[in-house]
Formats: sequence, structure tokens, C-alpha cells
Amino acid sequence: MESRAPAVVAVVVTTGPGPGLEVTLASLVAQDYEELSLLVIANGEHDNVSERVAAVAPKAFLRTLDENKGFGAACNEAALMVDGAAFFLFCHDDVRLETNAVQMMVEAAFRTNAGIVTPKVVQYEDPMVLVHVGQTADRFGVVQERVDLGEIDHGQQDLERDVFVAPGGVTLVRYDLFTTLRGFDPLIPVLGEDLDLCWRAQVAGARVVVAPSAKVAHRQTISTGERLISAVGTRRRSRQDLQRRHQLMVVATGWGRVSTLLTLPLLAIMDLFEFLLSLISGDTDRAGAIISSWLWLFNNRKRIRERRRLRGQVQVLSDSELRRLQVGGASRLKRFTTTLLREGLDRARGVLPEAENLPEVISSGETSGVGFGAAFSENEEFDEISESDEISLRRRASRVLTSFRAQAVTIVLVGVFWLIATRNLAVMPLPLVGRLAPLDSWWSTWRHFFASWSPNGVGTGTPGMPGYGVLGFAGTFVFGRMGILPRLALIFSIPVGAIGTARLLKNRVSNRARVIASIAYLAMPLGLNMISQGRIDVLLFTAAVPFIVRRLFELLAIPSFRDGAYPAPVHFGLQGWRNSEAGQRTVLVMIIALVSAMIPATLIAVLVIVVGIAIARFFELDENASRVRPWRMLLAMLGSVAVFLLPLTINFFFAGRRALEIFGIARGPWDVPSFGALIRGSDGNLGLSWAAWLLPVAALLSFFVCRGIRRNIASKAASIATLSLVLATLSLHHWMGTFAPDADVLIALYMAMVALLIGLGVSALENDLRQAGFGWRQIFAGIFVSMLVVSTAPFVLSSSSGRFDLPTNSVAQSLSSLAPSNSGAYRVLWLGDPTVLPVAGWSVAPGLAAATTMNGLPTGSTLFTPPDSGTSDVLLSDVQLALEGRTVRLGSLLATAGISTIVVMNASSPELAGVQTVPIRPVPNTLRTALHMQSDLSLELQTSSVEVYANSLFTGLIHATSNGSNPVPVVANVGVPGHLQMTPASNVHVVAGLAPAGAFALTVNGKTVPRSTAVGWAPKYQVGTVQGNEKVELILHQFPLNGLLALFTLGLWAFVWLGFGWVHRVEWLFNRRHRRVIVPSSETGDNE
Amino acid sequence: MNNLRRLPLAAVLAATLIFMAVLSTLIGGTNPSQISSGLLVASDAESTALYCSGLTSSSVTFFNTTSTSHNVSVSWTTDTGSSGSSTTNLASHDTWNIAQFGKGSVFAVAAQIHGGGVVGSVAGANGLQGTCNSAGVTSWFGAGFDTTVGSTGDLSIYNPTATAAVFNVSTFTNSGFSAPAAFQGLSVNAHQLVVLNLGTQLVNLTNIGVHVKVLRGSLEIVGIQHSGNSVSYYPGENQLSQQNWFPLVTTSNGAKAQLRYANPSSNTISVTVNVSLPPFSVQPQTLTVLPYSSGEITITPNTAIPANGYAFVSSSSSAPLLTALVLGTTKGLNLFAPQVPTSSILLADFSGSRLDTAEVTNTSKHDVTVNVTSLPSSAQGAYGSSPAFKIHLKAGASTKVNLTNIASGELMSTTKNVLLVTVALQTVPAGINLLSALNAR
Repeated sequence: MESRAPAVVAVVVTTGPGPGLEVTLASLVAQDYEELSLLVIANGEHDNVSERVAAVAPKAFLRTLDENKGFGAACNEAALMVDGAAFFLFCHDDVRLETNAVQMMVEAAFRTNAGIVTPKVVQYEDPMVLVHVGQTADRFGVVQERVDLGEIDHGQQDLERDVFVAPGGVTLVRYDLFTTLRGFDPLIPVLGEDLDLCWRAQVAGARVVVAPSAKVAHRQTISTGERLISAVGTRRRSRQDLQRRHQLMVVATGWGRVSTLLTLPLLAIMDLFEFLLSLISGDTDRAGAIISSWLWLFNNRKRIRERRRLRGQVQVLSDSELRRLQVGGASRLKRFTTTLLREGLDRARGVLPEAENLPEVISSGETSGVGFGAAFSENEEFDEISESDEISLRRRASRVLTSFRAQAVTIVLVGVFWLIATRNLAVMPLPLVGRLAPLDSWWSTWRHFFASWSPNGVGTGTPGMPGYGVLGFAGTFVFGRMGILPRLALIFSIPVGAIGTARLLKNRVSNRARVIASIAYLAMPLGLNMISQGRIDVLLFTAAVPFIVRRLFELLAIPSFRDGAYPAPVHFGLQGWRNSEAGQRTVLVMIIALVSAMIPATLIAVLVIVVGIAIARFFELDENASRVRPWRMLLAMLGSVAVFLLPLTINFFFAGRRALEIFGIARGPWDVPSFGALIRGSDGNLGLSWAAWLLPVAALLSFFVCRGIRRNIASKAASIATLSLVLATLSLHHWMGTFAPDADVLIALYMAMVALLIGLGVSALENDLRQAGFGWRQIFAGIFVSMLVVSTAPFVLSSSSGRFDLPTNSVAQSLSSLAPSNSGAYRVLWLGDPTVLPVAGWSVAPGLAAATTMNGLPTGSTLFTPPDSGTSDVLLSDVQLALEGRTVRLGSLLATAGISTIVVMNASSPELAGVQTVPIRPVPNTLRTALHMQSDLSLELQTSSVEVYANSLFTGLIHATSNGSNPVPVVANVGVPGHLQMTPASNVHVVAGLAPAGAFALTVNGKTVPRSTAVGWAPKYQVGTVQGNEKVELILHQFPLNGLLALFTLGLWAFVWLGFGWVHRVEWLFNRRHRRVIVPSSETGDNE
Repeated sequence: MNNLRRLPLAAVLAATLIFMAVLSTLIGGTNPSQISSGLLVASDAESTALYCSGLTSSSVTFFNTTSTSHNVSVSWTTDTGSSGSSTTNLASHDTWNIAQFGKGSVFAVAAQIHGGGVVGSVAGANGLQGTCNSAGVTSWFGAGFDTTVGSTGDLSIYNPTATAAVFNVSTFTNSGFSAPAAFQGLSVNAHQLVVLNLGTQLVNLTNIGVHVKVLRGSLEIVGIQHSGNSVSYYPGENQLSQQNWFPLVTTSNGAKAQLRYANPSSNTISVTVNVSLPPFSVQPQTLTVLPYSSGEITITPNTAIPANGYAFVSSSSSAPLLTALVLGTTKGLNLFAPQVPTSSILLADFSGSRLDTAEVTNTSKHDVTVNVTSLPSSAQGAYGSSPAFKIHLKAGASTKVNLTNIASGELMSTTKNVLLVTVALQTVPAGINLLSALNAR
């Protein structure tokens, strides 16, 4: 009897050992479809294939190919051998078809007039789990599954429908269509050939249909790594690399001209974004794949033209019709964004291990999200703790802020609110308050780091402060627009600190607790006050402290931060070294060093953390405590930081009695915040209301309700917070002598601990309280939540100005006429509370610091002051003399140093009723009295904020005298030629108020003149007889030791940075060796 | 882990916080306002200054109290603009007298000393004497001035700094507050002298209280009160006080003694004056001083107070106010400011007057020991060769002492600012002129 069924040729392409070949062939042999022929293509390696085929399917045809050119090429080869068939059934050698699969697919093809039919694909081991029911794709060629990972087959997908991609495995293709399309593109041997074929088929007007009634199990030996990709030309390529280039090829040739012009640039932009992100996150494989794909596309431009020509020949559907068959938007971007929000950056970039490999969380009910964005989990299981049935029946967990949507909305709202609250900081002219002195250019900032001489005080030849190096490095990332840096610090420091707080609590509390703790950190008064006072140094610490705390906790093996040993040691420079103990320590050291370069009191904060942990452990010994030696680690860390900040270290050791001033200068005990204000974390005008008590009180309550490991962490946090407060109090009241670490840094540490405690408190509400019977704890919960809500009120109210009360003008900027009437260089001496001065200085007495600036207002050259005051001690001792009533001719004493003006500041900005309020921090009353007593100072300006005195005996920074005549200013500066304009005279000498004396040489008409010293420190040059109008120039002659030291320091940083796997990475760039990177399976699409 | 293990740590942390809270509350920092001046400045100071003012008929004497010599540079100016300068090296315990100031009636002297420990005195005829000060002031109070017929109240205002000073003058009299327009916004150029005659604006008034508020800079101010045939240099007060002591107030027949008050506040102030005149018991004298007004209590003659030599008078009030002591006769009155308790007092008489009596008072509620040292004259050799003795004073007690070497200087010191030393010069009737200590501000 003649069969009326159309002929189907099943083409099984087998490669290498083909572990499932027998099963595949057996299932084909067992098909109930009569007109089914079997053709096996042995692709390349074909040992024993004929025997294996013959054993299972003796009637099958076998064709062996000499080399493996890929699945598509093998299918094309098979097509050449076949004539008169109606359909091809292209099969991998790791599939298992149900007996009616071919029948169902052929029926579906006729029923729907489809060109390509794909079956329902299930897991090989568990046929109840769906793998594919067809696939879709977006306009950028990114394939998307139509079923969820692990979705159980309940028949919910059993509907014949059009799909865009028929995933590889088993594909029924109409013979004539395959011929028209000229088969698979041999340029795409694997990973993407199915997408390409389906795309072209649909361009040609053919339908691609899924036939769920046909069921196929797919072993997926390539995507599971059971078998390597071995096609010619693919052996040195990663899956990612192949997939990207093939997608790119499909997109580049799949659209008409106009659509291509739109689509390719968009794809290029997205790839660029992904490339940058990969670079930032160190995912060089991905970055390499992106670059490689575009290069490959460029290299195959001839093939592109050919494919486009063929497309034109077969095109039936227009681009708009084709687009309607695809999913809208950009699937990869959407998936990245969603993953970023839900699971953090590391997961989004796809290089983290799977969730089950992450460290165990404290509570089984808590999520193991990664990153700050991991708060956005729809999984509410973290609220569910193991509890008795009785309790769970009685109570239901709070659902507030537990859903992904709620948390996402909260974070977005807070972010928007923050941007609104800081809106003016982005555009307003920054006032000259705190540390907001305008930065010098990028180049000049680097020069300060390498400089052999700096103008601080009367001048110093001490090594350049590393802070300049940090600023210069940071300036590189803003393309030298240094003015952006302080704005970035003002706006983003606290949010970064809030993110750090979320990271600190990661894997320890629920995402809800992390969100709340982060918001609490944002609302802390200290940060807002630091914005209002322009203290960007403290703000930087505020940004960094949660990260420092987290890493210190890990190194000190605080339970749940690190419960086990570090991975096995890895050699320096190799990838993985960063994760070793040495690498982790180095990361922490570098973070501390970076922040310490800007604000050295960071080191004291580190000390407080370690001591605080030691105190807590004294009362409650951790199980892992014996594994770490905190003091040895602390010493090693401080030593390492000292090496990283070598210029600062050298300054420190040469500073003598002033060495400790590097950590902070004593403030006047008469205007420091009260102990109550300290507990509220307020050092300024913000946060003095009763509402500011709520956050610390909430933290206190948290300390008492936490249980288990939460309590253990809370004990450490409480201990550190208490120690911070104690040290801040001692410092503010000047009870530790010259050791007066910056109290704001200590308060910032205290605030970080308060935020940590609040996060733990929320977690305790979710877990510990629900395990307890009804009682005071439940009442506490209500109080706790109410306090957290109300505590944000001052934060909200303080945002109305759009700048958190940062003044719009400053006292310093209002001093427009600081320049003396006679021309030439001059200095301004700034006196005031160290937190009020717009420039860093040295301590004269508690509450009184002194600093100088050259030729007017502070600039970027005096941002940092070396602790070693050196020759500048002459200035400080002169002021000290006045303060003690031991001189009445301060102007005369300061004249040698070229001090033309003394500015005494009680506030950084003028108080404007109803417009701006600033903290008044008066100088010692004795200073005012002393300055009033001076017979040679003239009071030029007197307000409640500032007093300005002119030095009536000022004669110029560089001046000339002759035989006791009145000094004549020399119009010159260091390196700037000038003229000696005086009447002809003999025995003329020139005195320069610049130290060290030996660093400068004076040339008169190009000839160097002999030098001695005046008043013990100032260079005095014997000019001799002058005729008037001689050309003079003061030249700095200093061996560049400081430059060499700075160079060494930079080299050290670069060397250690290379140790973080960069040696390995650089090596990879040259030899193209591959790293295995775990990529979400959905991204690869299982298209092999 | 047992939750109770948290308690020791919690207790320690709580105790620490409470301790720090209490400590920081109890030991609050105060902004230092006391600056070393006058004799309290060490002799090795880089430089000190002295500013004196008086009538050009007087002379200025500088006295080096230290054992080292110091260079002294002096410049002077008068109310007519005449000026001059001079320099000397002042040997240890030596004196330097300047008597010629050029044209004018009032002079001001500014002396710059390379070092510390030099004092200055302005002395004139009839026991007229005043003290040189080491710093200007930004607020100055005076009480008891008269502009009645035969009296002239002047303010000698010298600007010792390089700043052009600006000041306002307001007055308080029996008829109330006054801020004459002519006395507002006055300026004194750097190192210049201005003499302000109160009588030009406050005509024929007695007991005038004055407040000079310096708006810019600082000023050295001395009141010069002419009253009949008496002239007095009145140093004034830097701040108001509630409690004052006047150990030697004469009750002699023919003498006049008054305590004059001025109230610069907006509140009525009650004043109580206790007079100790053993063996007599004197009822406390009381006075109510209206806001922005002045008033006085007459000690001598007073029917409630017998004439019996020197009385110890203490004055206390319900609020700070201005106080001045007026001593004299019907022919003229001398104006004195209350003494401020201090720890060290130098007495020396360069006017040649003879001492009548001296009284040392302990104003505190604790016993103190006062060291008395007689400074040697330059001819006597090394410092410290003169005998020294000690006086033990009980709380609130006073005692009369015999000052043997007042001509070359007597230095009294104790450990706290509780000491008053009052010296009456020999006058007829007794006790109508007092010696000024040389270590004024």
C-alpha cells in the first residue's frame, strides 16, 4: 500500500562521543511515522559511530565528515544528499523523542502551514519540567524563553502558536523552505544558528510554530558543560563570545536598511554601556566578548553584504511586520535592570556563584540578596521565621515594606527626595566654608603632590600631602573638571554611606531592615550638618565608614561576617588573590589609606572599632575570636597604611609635639556640642530638636531586643558607639591634651553604629519578637516603628533649602579687600576655631587654629596642612605670645612673614536673620583682648562673625631695606621676576618671608647674591649698592626629594593594584586564555 | 548564647556613658577671658605697654620691678596735638620720670617696654596720683562725676592702637538717662588723645554716671575730676559689680565721704551699705537707685555714723551697678573707684606723700596668707635682699599693716584674687586721699 504521508528525513548530527546518540536513534526508530528516513551525520570525530548506529538503527544512513564544521554545516551537507523529501527533521544527538513526536509535528506543519515546527522540549531527566516551548526574541536578537526556569508541565503551554525561534534540539523544517534559505549559515556553526534560520524563514514569510503535542526530552550536553564546543573555529571562543557575535550578525543582516540604521547604533550603545560596566566590575570576559563580537562583525563585512543580498531576494515580510512577531523593548537591558534591582550588581553582571553557594544567612527565613538593590525581592519568605504552628496561627508577619515593589518604590522615593533636597548643591556657587576652598586645576593638584615646597605657614619643604594625590586621581575621572569633585562629595557622600550601610547588613538582616537602616543613615543629623558646614573631609569619611566597618568585621571574624577561614592563599598578582586573607586585608588597608589621605582621623576610627570589638569580646567571647589576633592585625594594618601614605608618615614623624594634630585640632571647649547633642549626632544647627533623640533611642532599644547572632553584632556596635562618644567627649573638652581627634569623625562612626543597630532592631522585630510571647516586646515594636517614622521629620524639614542649609555666601568671600595697598606678594593670617577656618592650619590653643594663605583667599594649594609646622612655629608662637599678653607688637613680629592682614573668624558665614543660620564658634576671648592690645594692628572690620586687622607695619612679603631706612616692597613672587624700585642706595639687603631659607636664591639682574638669615629663619640677601629698578627674581632651588617620594608612593599603589588580579588580566589580554564565568542560563538561551 | 550575658557589657557601657555625661555637664568649658596684664606679665615677655594720662602739670614715673633691665620707648601726645618721644634702658628697680609734655593741658603717654614687670604712675601736686594701664578697654564705666559750678568732669580718651576708634558716651544722672548727640559716634585716630568735657552736655549736675561704649578699637580712658581745689584721676571700672569694699572710709570731722551709684540698667536696684566702725554698731544704710539714674549714700557726715576715724564699708546691691567713693572736704572732693580684689598688689608712692595707714582685706570666705615683699631701690642691690613677712588673714577679715618701704615699692601677693590693700595718705582731715595701686589692668 502506498503511503500518503509526506516524507521526512531525520538528520541526526553527532559529534565526538555523543553520549545520548543511541537513545536518540532508538527514539527515532520507534517513531510511529511511516515515511521517516534516518540520516546520521558523524561530524568530525567519529570513532565507532558506524557500529553504534548499526546497533540501534541498522536502516539508518550514515555520512561521516572529516572535520566538525558545526551543526549548521553538517545539516547543510545532509540536505545535499537528500532529494524528494517534504521535511527535514534536524536533531541533536542528545534528544529523546516520544513515539508520536514526528507525527504530531508534521500534522502541525500541515495544519498551520508552518515552515518550521518545534516541539515541546522537556528536561531529559525529569520530563515534567519544561525547557522550551518555542522562544521569542527582541529586535536585537536576544532570545527569551517562554517558560520559567523549572516550570512544571501541567499542560498550560499546550497550545499551538507562532513563536519567533525554534530552539535547537529537534526542528522540523520544510524542505523547500530550507532550500530557499540555502540552509544554515556555515558562518554560524553553533549557538545562534536556530535564531538565524528562524529569522530568515520569517523574513521569507514562513511561519514558525510550536507543536506542544510533540514532546521531546533534551539532554543539553553543551549548555550543561557535559560536552565542549568543538566545531572548527570555535575552540578558543567562549560561549558568550560566540553567542554575541552570532546575534550581532543576525541583527546586522536581519533588518532592512532603515531599521538597521536604527537598531545597530542602539545595540552599540547598549553594548558600550555593558562594556563599561564589565570593566568597572572586572568582568574582562564579557568586555572581551563585546569587543570581539564587533570586531568579528567588521571582519565579516563581505559576508554581511552577501547575507543582505540574499535577504533581499527572499524577503516577503516588511520590517514592521517582522517586529510585530518579536517582543518589544530590549530584553537584555530589561533583564539586567531587573536583576540589578533585585539581586545587585554582581548578579546582574553574571559572574557570581549561584545563590545556593552564597554564605548562609542568619535566619533561614532571610533572603540572600546581593547588593543594595537586592532589597527588591518579591519573595517575602524572609519575614517567615521558623516558629511553632501555634504562634504562626496566632500572628501574621507585618507586610509593610516587604514586597519588591514597596521596597523599590521606597528607595526610588528616597532617592528622588534626596535629589530634591540637594538640588541647589549641584548648581549654586559653593561658599568658601569648611573645606570648600576652590580646587586648583588637575595639573596643579598633582603638582602640589609632587611639590618640593608648599606655601603653608611661612612655607615648608615637607613632602606633599597624599590628599593631593587622591584629589588628582579623582579628578582624572571627571576629566580634570575639579570643581565637580566637591559637589559630588556634598551630594553623594551620604547616599554612598547609606548604600554602605545596606552592604554592611547584607546577608545578616532582611532587605526591609537594610532599607530602613539605610534611610536612617541618610537622616542622621551629622551628615546633614557636615553638608551645611562644607566639611567634605568628614563627608568622605561618612561615605566610607560603613564599608570600613564591614571589612573590619570580616577580618576580625565577627559571627555571620566571617564564620570560616579564608580561601587558600593565592600568589600575589593572580586572580583570586583579592579574595584571600592577604588580599582582603590589602583592600581594607587601601580603603583606609585613601580616606586617611583626606582625613587622617580615620585611623583613630579604625582603632576605636578594633578596641570596641575587643571590649565587647571581653564580655562575650566569640567562638571564632581565638582565630584572629586583633592587635597584631591592627598594628600590621596601621603599618601598611603608613607605607601607603609615606609622605604623610614622614611628616608625622618629623612633626614632633604637633604630630598628634594630624588627627584633629582641639576645639574650644566652650562652644562644643553638649553630651546630649553628641548622642543625637548633632554638631551644628541641624538635629537639635527632640525628634533627633529618636534614632539613638531606637538603637538603644534594638540593643536590648536582639537575640542570637544579632545580639552578638549589636554588642559590638554598642561598644564601638560608646567608645566613639567617650573619645569624642574627651576630645571636645580637651581632656587628652594635644591628642584631639576630629570629633566629627568619631560622631560619624557613632552614627554608623546607630544605623547598624537600627537595622538589627528591625530584624529583631521580624524574627526575635515574633518568637516571644505577647508582652513588652510587642509594645516595643510599636514604639520602635513610630520612632523611626517620626525621626525622619527633621531630615525632611531640613531639606527645604535644597542645600541642607549650606550658606550661600561666606565670611571669607566677603573680605574682598584683603590685598594691602602696596603691591607685591602678601600673606593673610587666619585665626579661628579649626572647624570654622576655610583653610587647614595648626593649633595655637584650644579653640584657636592658625593658617596662612598667599595673596588673598584660600586656594587649592593650602587644602592640606602638614602636621610638621617647622619654621611656621614662629608665626604660631607670635600669636601665642599675644594670646598670653606677652606682646603688644604682634604686627611687627608678623611683618617679617609678610602678614598683611589678620582675619579672626567666629563663624564661617555671616548670620542673616531668616535667611541663613550658622554655628557661632567664638575664638578665645583672650585673643580678642590681645588683638585689641596690639599697638600696630588696625581693626578694619568688626562683625559678630569676623574681625579683620590690618598690619600697619606690613612691608611686603619680599622687601628691601637700606641702612635702616623704611622697607620697600619688592614686586615679586617665587619664580616671578620683579623690579627693585627704590632710590639709589648702598648696603641694600632683601628679606623674603619664605622658609626654609636655604631653598631660595635671589638673582639681581641675573646674578645670584649671597644669602644670610634674618630673625633666625627668613632668607636675607646682601644686594649691596643699587641704582634702582634692578630686575630681581626669587628662585626655588630644591632637590626634588618630595617628587621622588611621591613617585615611589604612586608606584607602590600601582604595584599593589596590579596584585588584584590585574597581572592575570593583562596576561589574558595577550594570550587570550579563557576564564570560566557563570552566565545566567537564560541569557545563553540554550541554543546549541 | 544566653541573653543575660549581655547585661555586664550593657552595664559597663551605660555606666561609662552616664559618667561622661555627668562629667561633661559638670566640667563645662569656659571661654578664657583673663589675659595677663600689668604685673602678672612675666618679665621675659616679648613686649608690654603702658598707657597713662593726666594733666600736663603732672609727671609720669616708670618703675622697673624686675631684676633685669628693660628698654622702654615712650611717646606722648597732648590734647593740643603736641607730641614727643623718648627711649631709655631702665635698670632693675630703677625709675624713669618724664615731666615735660609740651603744649596742652592733658597728656597721654604710651610706653612700649621690651619685657614685662615695669609699672607706671602719674603723680602731681597735693597727692594727686594715678596709674598707668597696660591695655585699652572696649567698655568703660564711671560714676560720681560733678559738673556743678567749680567742678569739671573730663574724660581723657587715648587710642593706644593703630585702629581709628569709634565710641559712644551715655550718662546716668538723677534726672535719668542721657545720650547727648554730641557724644555719639566720636572717633579717635590711632595713637591720638581726645578730652571730653562732660560739662558741655551735662550742665551743673552732680553724681553723673558715664558709660563709654567703644564701637571699634579699644581706648585708654581716665576720668579727671576737678572739684574746688582738688583734682583726682579716676580710673573707672571695666564692668559693673554687685559687691564692693571700701576699707578706709573716713568719718573724721570736717571730712566728706560719699558712696555714689549709677544704675545703667532698666531695673530698680536696691543698695545696702554696711558700715563697720568698732566699737560702734551702725545700722545698714540703704538706697534705691532708679533705672538709668544715680544716687548716693553719705557716710560722712551722717548722724547715724559717729566720727571715729576709719570705717570699713561694704556695699552690696540687688543687681550690678556703678559705684564710686568720693572723699574730701567742703573745699573739694576726690573721686575714687572701688578696688577689685586681686592676687597681687604693688604699692609705691612717687608723689612724696606720707602714709597714714594701710589696711589689707581678705574678701573671700577662706583664710589666706599674704606675702609682703619690699622691693629694693636700685641702689640697694639685688632683688630680695629686703625683708619679707607674711600676714595670715581669716575669711572676710582685714588688718592694718605697717608698710616700711613704700617709697621703693611694696608688693603683696596671695594665691587667689581675694586681696584688697587700701592705703590712706596723710591728710587734714584724715583719710580724704587714697593711694592708687600700680598694677591696674
